[in-house]
Amino acid sequence: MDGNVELEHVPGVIDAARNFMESLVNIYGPVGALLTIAGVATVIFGWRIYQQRRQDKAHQAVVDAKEETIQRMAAESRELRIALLMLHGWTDEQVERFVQKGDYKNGPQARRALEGDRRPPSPSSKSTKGSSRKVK
Amino acid sequence: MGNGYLAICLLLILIAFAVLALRSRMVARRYEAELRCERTRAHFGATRHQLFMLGVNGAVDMDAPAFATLFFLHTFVMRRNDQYPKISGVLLGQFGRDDERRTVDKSFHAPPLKPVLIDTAAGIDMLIRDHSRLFRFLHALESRSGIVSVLAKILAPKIQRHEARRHPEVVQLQEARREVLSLYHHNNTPAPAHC
Repeated sequence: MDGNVELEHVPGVIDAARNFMESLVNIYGPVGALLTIAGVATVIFGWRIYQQRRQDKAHQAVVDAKEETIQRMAAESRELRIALLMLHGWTDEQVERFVQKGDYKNGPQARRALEGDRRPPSPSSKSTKGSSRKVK
Repeated sequence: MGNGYLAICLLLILIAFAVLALRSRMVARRYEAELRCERTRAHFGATRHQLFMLGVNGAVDMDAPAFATLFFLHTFVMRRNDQYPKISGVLLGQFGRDDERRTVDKSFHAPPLKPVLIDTAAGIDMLIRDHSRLFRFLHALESRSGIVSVLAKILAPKIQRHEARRHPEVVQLQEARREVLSLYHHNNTPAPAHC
């Protein structure tokens, strides 16, 4: 019964929408109405795209900030490790062998600075090798 | 009827996009708030570590009230940097004008403590800025050059009065910042409004 009651209003809604379109055409003319609708649609789509980009940018900024926090905490931990090792009588040379100092913003930057650009082979390169073998 | 269906479809699509845009805006604002919290937390964390290392290196007496006060203050803010009334209450308790301990205790005036005090003041400044959208707007204007910064100077007192009425805790935070800065300057005269 409830479903029938709701469906009764559907033609009314469609009529209202048609009346709205007709009144737009009456006020602005066919081209004007089309341009008005296109303008509103452009504004809404543009706003949607802007908000999506803002969201992506904010998300990336949060991720970067968290990464910086991790690096800061790693640096703090490193300094405390050095202090602890010195307390146990380690020399500067011994400490330098095991603890590498540095102020980095993220893991990849630290890795490149401390280990050079040695990258492990990626899975995609492995699959390429496999396919080349098959070809041979 | 055909026109009606077309209009309904168009309106539904527009409404759907508007709803999606509103949702993105809401999520973006939540991320931005989280970012501000994270930056403030990181600032106080770095300041606390700086203070701790000064203590470890013997530059600052770790038994002095200044060390304990600043250390626990930084920890307190790091744990709840979004709960402004609590923070402002604690800051005012530690650095308020009616706090006799601060005027008696000279350990706050140790020269190695100066960078920690100035960083603490900068951290409180971040808290104030993060608390209010108008203050963030004012800060954005101040960071520009030319006529925009002049506009910021004109707007600053009005925004200050408006926000003081809306958020009393901001006034307390500003007072605490002035007190921290006055400790930095080694006397009890009030520091300038902007550090």
